[in-house]
Amino acid sequence: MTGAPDAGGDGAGSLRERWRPRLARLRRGWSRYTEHGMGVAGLAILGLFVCWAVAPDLFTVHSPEWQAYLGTDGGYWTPDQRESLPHPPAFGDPFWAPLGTNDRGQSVLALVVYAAGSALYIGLAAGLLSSLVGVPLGLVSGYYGDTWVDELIQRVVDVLYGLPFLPFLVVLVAIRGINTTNIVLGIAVTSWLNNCVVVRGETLSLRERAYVDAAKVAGASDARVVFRHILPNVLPLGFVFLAQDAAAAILAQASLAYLGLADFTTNSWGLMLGNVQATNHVFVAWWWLLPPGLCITAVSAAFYFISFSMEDVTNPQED
Amino acid sequence: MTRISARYLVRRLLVSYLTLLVVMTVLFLLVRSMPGTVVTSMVTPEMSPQQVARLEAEWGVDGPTWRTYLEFMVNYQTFDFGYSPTYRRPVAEVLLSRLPRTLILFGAAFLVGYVVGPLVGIYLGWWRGTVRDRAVFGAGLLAYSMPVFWIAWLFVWLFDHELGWLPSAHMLTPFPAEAYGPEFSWTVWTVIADVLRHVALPLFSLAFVGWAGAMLVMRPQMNNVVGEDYVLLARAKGLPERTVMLKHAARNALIPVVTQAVVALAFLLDGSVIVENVFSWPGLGQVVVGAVFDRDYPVMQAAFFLLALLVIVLRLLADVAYTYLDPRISFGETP
Amino acid sequence: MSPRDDGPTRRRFLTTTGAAGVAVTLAGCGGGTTGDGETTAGTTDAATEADAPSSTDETETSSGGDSRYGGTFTYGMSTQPESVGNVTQATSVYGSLALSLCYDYPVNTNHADEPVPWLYSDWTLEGADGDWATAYFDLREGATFGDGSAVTVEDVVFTYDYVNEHELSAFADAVANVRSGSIAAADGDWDLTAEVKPVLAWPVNTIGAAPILPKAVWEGTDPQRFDPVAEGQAFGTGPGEVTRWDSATAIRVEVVNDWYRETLNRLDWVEADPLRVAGGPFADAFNFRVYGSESAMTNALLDGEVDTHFGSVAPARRGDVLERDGLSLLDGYDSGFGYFAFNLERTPTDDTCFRQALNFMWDERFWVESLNDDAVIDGDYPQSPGYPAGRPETYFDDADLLTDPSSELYAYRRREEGSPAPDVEAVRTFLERGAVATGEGGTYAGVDYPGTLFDVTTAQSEARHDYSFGPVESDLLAEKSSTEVELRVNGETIPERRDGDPLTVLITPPTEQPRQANGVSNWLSNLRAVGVPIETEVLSFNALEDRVFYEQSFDVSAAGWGDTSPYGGTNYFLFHSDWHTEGTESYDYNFTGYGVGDVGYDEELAEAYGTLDTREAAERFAKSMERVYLDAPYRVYNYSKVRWPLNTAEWTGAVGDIVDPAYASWPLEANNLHRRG
Repeated sequence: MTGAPDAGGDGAGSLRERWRPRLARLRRGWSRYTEHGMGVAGLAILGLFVCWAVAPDLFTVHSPEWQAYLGTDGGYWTPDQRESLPHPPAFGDPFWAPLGTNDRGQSVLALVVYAAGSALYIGLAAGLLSSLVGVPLGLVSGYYGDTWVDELIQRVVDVLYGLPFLPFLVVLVAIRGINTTNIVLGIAVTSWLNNCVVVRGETLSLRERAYVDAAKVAGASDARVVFRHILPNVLPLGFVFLAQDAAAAILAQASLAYLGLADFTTNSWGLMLGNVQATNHVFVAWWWLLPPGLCITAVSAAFYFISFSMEDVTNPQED
Repeated sequence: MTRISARYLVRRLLVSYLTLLVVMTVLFLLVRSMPGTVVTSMVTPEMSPQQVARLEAEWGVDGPTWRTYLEFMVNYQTFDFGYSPTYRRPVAEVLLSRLPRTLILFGAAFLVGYVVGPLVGIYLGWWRGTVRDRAVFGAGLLAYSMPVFWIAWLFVWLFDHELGWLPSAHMLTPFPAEAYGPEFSWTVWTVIADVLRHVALPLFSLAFVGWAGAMLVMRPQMNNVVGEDYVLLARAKGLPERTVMLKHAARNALIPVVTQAVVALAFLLDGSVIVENVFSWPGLGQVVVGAVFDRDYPVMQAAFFLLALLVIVLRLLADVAYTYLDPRISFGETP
Repeated sequence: MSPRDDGPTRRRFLTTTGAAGVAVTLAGCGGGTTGDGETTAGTTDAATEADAPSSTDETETSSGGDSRYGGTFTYGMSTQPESVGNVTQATSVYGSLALSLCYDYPVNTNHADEPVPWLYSDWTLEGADGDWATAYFDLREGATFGDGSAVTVEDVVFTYDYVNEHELSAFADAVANVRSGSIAAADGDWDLTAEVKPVLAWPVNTIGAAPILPKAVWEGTDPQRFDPVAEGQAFGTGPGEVTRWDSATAIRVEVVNDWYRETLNRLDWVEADPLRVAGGPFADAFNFRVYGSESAMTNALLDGEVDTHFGSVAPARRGDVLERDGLSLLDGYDSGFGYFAFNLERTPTDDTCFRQALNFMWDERFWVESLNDDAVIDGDYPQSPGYPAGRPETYFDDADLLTDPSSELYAYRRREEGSPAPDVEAVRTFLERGAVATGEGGTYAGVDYPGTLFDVTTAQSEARHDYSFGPVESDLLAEKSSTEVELRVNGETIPERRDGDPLTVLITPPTEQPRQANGVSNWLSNLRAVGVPIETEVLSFNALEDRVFYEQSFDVSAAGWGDTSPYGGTNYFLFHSDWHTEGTESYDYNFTGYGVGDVGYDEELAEAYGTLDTREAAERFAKSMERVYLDAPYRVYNYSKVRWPLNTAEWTGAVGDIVDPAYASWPLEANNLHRRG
């Protein structure tokens, strides 16, 4: 999204020069960030989920393919074995499943761990997409504030604000088919608006700063002013929103799953909750109901924690 | 006052109207892109082509696209939403009959959220950085991160299933004579009491997750004004901390929260889609999702339209109020 | 699934009017009859039930005494019915539950599903060999509507004129099978006459295909806008009247028609009918409660808020229900079946040989035992075992229902006994050899088959395409399977023929049908192991309906039918080419295209449907079952077992072992249910 700012004819030396203060700022920011226990906690939780996503097999004995009594070879249960599913937590007798199993005999722990990847994918993909749309549009809109360009973009934002989020998402997914890509796209289409509006506000105020005027007077092109002088100042804000959008996307996916619109070919926490509901196990199998909900809560909270801690560091309100 | 010129107002109104027209067009295209038409599900294999054509004419989907579009634009602007194929009633009637029920639940949740949220926000913003701030703020974010249907299930499990304290379905006892004895009758008081009993669980679930939203807006606002001159002045005058916090600081910090609350009102429906389903609450959200799944396009279209209208009007009001209240904004900036 | 149901044993075969369209029951999972049953009337077919089902619940039916009368029976449902209690517009099964207690059809059917006198006391048909015949019939003397007013010849004539004038699709049979305007008062011996089509079980499907409406109430109304409940006039010739209709929460039907209880429902045949308790309904009123989700509904059952609910109790909650004192589960049969449909107008699913090969890879034991806890029955013919008259085994003394080897052609080809691993080699060889399993005895893909009962054989005896196996080329197989070879159809891989797309199986969201999704996944992974590139595509129900029933733009699709004909007459609509149209504008019952090309059974199906004698027609349809089974436009994989919950501490008299007590047989159950002691 950002790329290196176009240095034009400048040499490498001045490039380093220009980035030095920013790096210093980043370092200062990081030390301010680490002051927040919440932000660190968020990173820690997220770190754990990233580990789950990267190497799930380190965290659980079984894979999602494993089935109670049968292992991974497949086969058929005896009636008694079937009767015992979903099985409450078991520690070695008759099998090892610390969070119990679902009605298909899969280990809930394995499902939860292996689903971390899809949660992060949905969150980050939707967050990135909405940043990729929202931040540039917000920049342009703010930079050309009060012109027809700004007006046009803001009216598009208004139009989309006018569509109720969840029902609209349901319509999009219903039309385009229920798979993860469409769900991510649907969420992104409806969630870039906040980014755009806030980035625009920030750009509007940055535009009035003296150094921007100076650059303009010096004959810098619009693109150059935007990318070199405004974007770096807006970026932290972009990340703040990226994290919030990621959290919102994960929650939105869970809501879709509740309505029966989860991609069943991809294991996800939302889908697990959807299955609990679809098989009428909500009030029967707490060991199957609690973990996915807790994981959704934890990963969303982690993103929110990170986001608000970053916001404190950048403090866009102090303007 | 002078900051809002008549010219600005007129322009803002005009733009809002144009926005509405575009939203309507988008809606029209959206419905067109959905599989089938209203009539699709009414056609049976036994029907002759003439019968099908008559059905299409009856439901206004027979003409060329441009004419259907024009009719749609004109009808909707006169609040004529047509007839619902699944409800067999005028669409407006369907929506109006459900709206009050949604308002009872979500209005209450909104009120609770926007009373508790800002109060907590004031407090946290004022004491920003303290242990209390961090603990409560973190807890708020945690609640905000929960899938609402999931936490609602847990509450139903605990309060209805295990403890049996509160009902978890419907807004009113459906057959009171069976529940309370044959001499029972609905009066203002029994209705209120019954609704309160039924609203408790869904309201609690919604508020549990929802209060953090307003808190998140209030807290930084409060934090911003903490250092303002007038706050320092009030403090210097030796006024009690509490008075300064609530009377001087909070009053100004509230402006963005109020404007945001106005806009948030329009988004009530989002939550209602899910929560109404969990609690068998006979409201608007169930109708809208049902309409999407059941191909009741007139109802879906009208619900979307009314919400869009609400958002646009409320945003217009919020803009104007914002411009009027906040000296720092000189033109109708989107909040 | 199916539409309103008047008489207790009358079944109507799905249709489409109304909101949710198709009668597709999404069969397959737990829910007994149907997942999301909506639909409406259609073409009917009356029926016989071979053996009189037994009464499971201790039916002290004869315990005469007035103590049986009284009480309010409460029924739960988890989907909202239509919002207006107007029988002419009713489109969902949920509204029909209440309306069927008020709007009664004038011809009834007995325990053997034979048409029997009801509001009409007698009838006859003249000139049955032409396209149209003349029916004469009598209206029972003393018949009254729910408000006590007399049912007259004028009301009957009015009803048919009204139905025809407005072409009410809720009563499509009355529109299609009774000549418009032909129904009139008759001179001479009979009260009424009409011109009707001579069809199977004609009294039910012609003059008895619409409930008689009181002219005084309905005259001059617009059926689409009329709300009889709001007018306080929601009654017909049935026992009840709708007194409250709030579709989001509650419906109430009060029993008002004393004549129905005292005279009509005490006719001699009712007294003698093993399924019925004469003199009902015994309850004073029926309340219906609407819940937002199935789990909320189950909770209500456990809390004693409702006495029963729609469908079956989910397997997950059966234990809870059985543990609760006073609750029992009543067994019943599926009113239809779950199936995969193949598109016979696409390559390679146009080839019987290929379809059969796909069928070999469905692991029925995995489906029945592992996924469904024995709550379902392995499927074969497109006819529920609850209606054995339409099944081939019924006509052969030594053939056992469901388990006869003649219905096991598509038994899962497993590598070894007791193992779920597929015998991929056998299926590959079957395809390469290109010899269709014709229905004669022999060994097909490694399993012996004794031959069909009726000695029918497939339309096509050799493969239409040339099948071979070569190196894996498609991404799908490379990613999702460990197979080392990929199928070539006439020298090309399937994706090569189709712009890179593999075959797809359309399914609805697994949150509605979680088992179905699991079953399909298992099937497809077996097929990929064979070397067939095939995957699922998940669509919302409406989108699927469009792709399959209107556009026929699919390869394989999973769905179900409910409320099918007891005699197998449904097959006529599903597999006769008359019910298939080109183009995307119309809804096709026969969306597979069976009978359109050279694979079909048109003549025999039409002949069976035109057979007036129900027994004879059923046997013809039973024979067609075998042919359809071999030609395999459908792979029927499931019949659900119904487990209907009932508060037997307070209520007794319900009959078990009949088809779908919660819906199709609900009016019968409602008449029978009475307070204990």
